[in-house]
Amino acid sequence: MKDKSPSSWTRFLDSESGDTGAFPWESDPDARREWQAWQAIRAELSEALRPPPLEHGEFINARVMEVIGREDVRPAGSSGWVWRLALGLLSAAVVLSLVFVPDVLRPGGSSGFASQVIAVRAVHPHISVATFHLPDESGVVVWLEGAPYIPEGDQLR
Amino acid sequence: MCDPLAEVSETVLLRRARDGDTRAFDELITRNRERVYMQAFMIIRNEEDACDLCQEAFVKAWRSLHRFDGKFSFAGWMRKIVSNAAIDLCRARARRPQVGLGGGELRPDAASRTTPSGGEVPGAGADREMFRARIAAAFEALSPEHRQVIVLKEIEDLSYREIAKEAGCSTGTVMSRLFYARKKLQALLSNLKDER
Repeated sequence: MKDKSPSSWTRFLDSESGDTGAFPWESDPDARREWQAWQAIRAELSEALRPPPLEHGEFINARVMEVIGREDVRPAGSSGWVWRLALGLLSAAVVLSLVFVPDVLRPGGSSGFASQVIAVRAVHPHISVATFHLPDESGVVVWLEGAPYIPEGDQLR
Repeated sequence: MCDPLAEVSETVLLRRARDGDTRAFDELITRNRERVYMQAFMIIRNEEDACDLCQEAFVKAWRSLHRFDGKFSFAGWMRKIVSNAAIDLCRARARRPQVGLGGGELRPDAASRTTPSGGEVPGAGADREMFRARIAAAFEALSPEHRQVIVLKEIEDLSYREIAKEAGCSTGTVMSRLFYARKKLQALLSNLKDER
């Protein structure tokens, strides 16, 4: 019994030749014996696996109804889709307004930059300093070049 | 007094349930609970768990009713939900040793033989009930995926394509799973017979 691929052997056991025609091992006594062995199992499978009867099946109804009622879960029908779509659009609008509107409304915000240089001064000849306003006016960034720190005695103006 | 919903068609019940009618859904549960319980039990092999799974499957169905497009019957849709839920539960559980009849531990390694067990026809000359009990014991030692394909093919009589759709895999995988599930089942049955 050679050339028994899983698919062809499965078809053989299920007596489904399909497009492949007869199986090459069909007349093989071992194959026939295995086929019969599986048929014997198959004949008993349904009874062998049969569950004990479902007693008080109405409890299942009651428990499902209880869960549905407790959670107030409603099937998301067409109205659910509309609500979700509306909520999604609203969320998108809020996000977009948070990103773009402050820039437009803020003086100088129309420059298109995330921050604006408001002063470039350096008292010390080797140090350059630039300061930036954060877009939401929550702080100022001081950008220092020429020194890792502001030397003692120097001042920022 | 007769239940007015008992005569209502499944299509109408489904439409009402989708609109939030819990009584219509209750009727759908009544019509399908036996079958769903049976399908759950076939894979999970435990009465209490099967009842719990049955309940969970119906709650899940209620929550997903908007996704039910009516291409399949409600029963078929429920079978898919419960069968996959049963497999998930099996996977989630800690593995425990599988004990066969008479307390003898099954030896799944014997299933690694490359050919299905041949020779004597299983059950020939043996007590039929005993043979069925051995089949059930061997079946419990299969992986949940193998149990699923055996149940869908042998009990539900689905085609390879239908099984593939339910299990979410290719028909090739279905046939491969069937092949190894049967081999393993036969090997386990053979072991049980040897141990007697």
